[in-house]
Amino acid sequence: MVRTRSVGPLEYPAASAVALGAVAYLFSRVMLNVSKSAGAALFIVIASVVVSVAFLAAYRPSFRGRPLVAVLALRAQLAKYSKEDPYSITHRECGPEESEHYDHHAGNAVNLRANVLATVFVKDGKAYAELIGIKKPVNSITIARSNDVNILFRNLDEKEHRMVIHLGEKAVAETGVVEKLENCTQLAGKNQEQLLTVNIKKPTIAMKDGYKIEVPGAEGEIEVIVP
Amino acid sequence: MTNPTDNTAGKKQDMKSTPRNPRRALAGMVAGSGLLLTGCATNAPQDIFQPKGPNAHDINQLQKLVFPIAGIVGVIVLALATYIFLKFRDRGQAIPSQAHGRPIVEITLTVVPALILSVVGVFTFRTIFDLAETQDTEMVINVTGQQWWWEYDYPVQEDFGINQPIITSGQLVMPVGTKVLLRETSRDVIHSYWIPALNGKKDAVPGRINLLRLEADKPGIYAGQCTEFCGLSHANMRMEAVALSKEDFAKWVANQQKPYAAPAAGTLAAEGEQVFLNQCVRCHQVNGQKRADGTAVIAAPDENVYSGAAPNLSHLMTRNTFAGAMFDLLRPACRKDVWSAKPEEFGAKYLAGVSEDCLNATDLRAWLRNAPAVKPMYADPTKLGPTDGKYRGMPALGLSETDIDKLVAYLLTLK
Repeated sequence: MVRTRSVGPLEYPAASAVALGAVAYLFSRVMLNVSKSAGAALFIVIASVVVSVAFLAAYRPSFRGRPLVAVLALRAQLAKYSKEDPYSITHRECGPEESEHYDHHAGNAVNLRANVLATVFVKDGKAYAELIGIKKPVNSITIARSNDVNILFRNLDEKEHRMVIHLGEKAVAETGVVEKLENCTQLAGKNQEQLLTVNIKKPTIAMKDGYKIEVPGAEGEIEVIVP
Repeated sequence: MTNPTDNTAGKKQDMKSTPRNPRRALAGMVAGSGLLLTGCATNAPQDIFQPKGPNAHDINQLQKLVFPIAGIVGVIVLALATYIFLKFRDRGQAIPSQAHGRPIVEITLTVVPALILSVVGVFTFRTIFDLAETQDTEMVINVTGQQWWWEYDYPVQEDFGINQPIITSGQLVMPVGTKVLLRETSRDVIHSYWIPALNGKKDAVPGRINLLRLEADKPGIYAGQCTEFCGLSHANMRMEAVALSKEDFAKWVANQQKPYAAPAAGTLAAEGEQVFLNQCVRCHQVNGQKRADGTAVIAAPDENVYSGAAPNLSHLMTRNTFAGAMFDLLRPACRKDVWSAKPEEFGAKYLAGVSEDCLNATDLRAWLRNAPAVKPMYADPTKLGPTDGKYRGMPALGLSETDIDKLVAYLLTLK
């Protein structure tokens, strides 16, 4: 979700610039590697193809739409598949960090402060939450159903920690194996922070064990209530 | 050579040929008078000049300063402009000599507005900061807008006896004399929350949490309206804030936390519960409801509604409105009895909820019969392609009159 909202708008112009650069680079490679006479012939052929395609696109509307429709259809199909499998979205490895290649030196500073429903802290080995408008720390937070909600995790402890939200269980369609659904932040060092966006579709009463947030390695659980 | 600006004769002819239209002038006067007379309305629950809480009082105090200043400046500017238009209108006279630069006039015309704006600015900024104060919040309510209704959920707050979250819609219930902080967001498009008697407007934006503080001086109902165009039924997206004394609010909280009581077997209401389970539960949750096998009933609005939510109908008959507060659950006489109650009697009358005698069965039945016919919504099942088959609003369920009888009997038990 964060990617969709924050990075998404940058992807198309960035990709376009890269593609344009690639085309210019390839053109230059071709032009520098062919002789003057062969180059002229080659580019006459290429220009003819481009003009022909442009002519067809201009005068035959049925032709014009096809490549675009094909690309859009492929995109829609990919988007559909990515949405249809919530398991792939919500499930991550939230145990000890096994990869040696995660961004250990990330800035871990979050700028989305206006959109944070709750902040989860870990300090002196204990996890607790603070909510806008409620002065004292709380051990339960309420999240509206079917709504994107940002939860900020701030590590004030000496050790590295990550925040994990437990979202119940789900049977994997192919195998029937029941696996835990959980989502988590990256590891954050002292005074670092991470943001987790969740959208919970079912109320707490739909879950046998409810929803909860915890910080592995720290005491205390925060109950997540979806009314 | 002919002077291109010298067309005086033609202009005079044009002016003569433009007849005065007394009817048009009369119509303008009537329209203007009508506009002025709206200020005399007594039954105007959304009147911004009748504040009922400290935040709205602050805004009212500010407007008492700003409106007269703006009014005086406006009158002076209009009078001067009119005088200049009339006095120096083109009669064919020679163009007067053009002067540039009158330091005294220019300095005056810069300094005077700057001073006026500084005075207005000081009071405006002070009010803005006062209204944005959240450090002294006493109670928090989450407000979520969607097409075209408002959902309210009350997080656990043991100081107010809220030991488990409360969820309701249409009417925001709050204790009197308490600084209530609304945390607003939206599930679909931008909405705007506005109870004029209690505070100004605040947008509810998807993915953001905006804060708005409400506080009511006295018990009563305060009407509001979504003020950000949000689609087909924007005009029907209303809300009411209900302020109860602290004792009455505690009673309301206790009632909202009561467990679900299924209707007695063999009654019409029990049959209505089956209709509810067959139809309504696809979107509407009633907390605590169970199927015959004892499993909890879980509504699935996320599968059927574009916003992913539909009003939770637990304790429906403790509210006075339905369908995004567009319709009253109370008949007009009963509604008037509650709305016009004295502050000391209001709580008891509101907490009485909706009885069978007071139920506005006409509107409720019409809603159950064909909801899109009484409130415009995107609920035509043949036109749901853009939303992947999901409704925006409530569709027509095709219920028979017998089913509607049963359903109304069941809904009346949700107290």
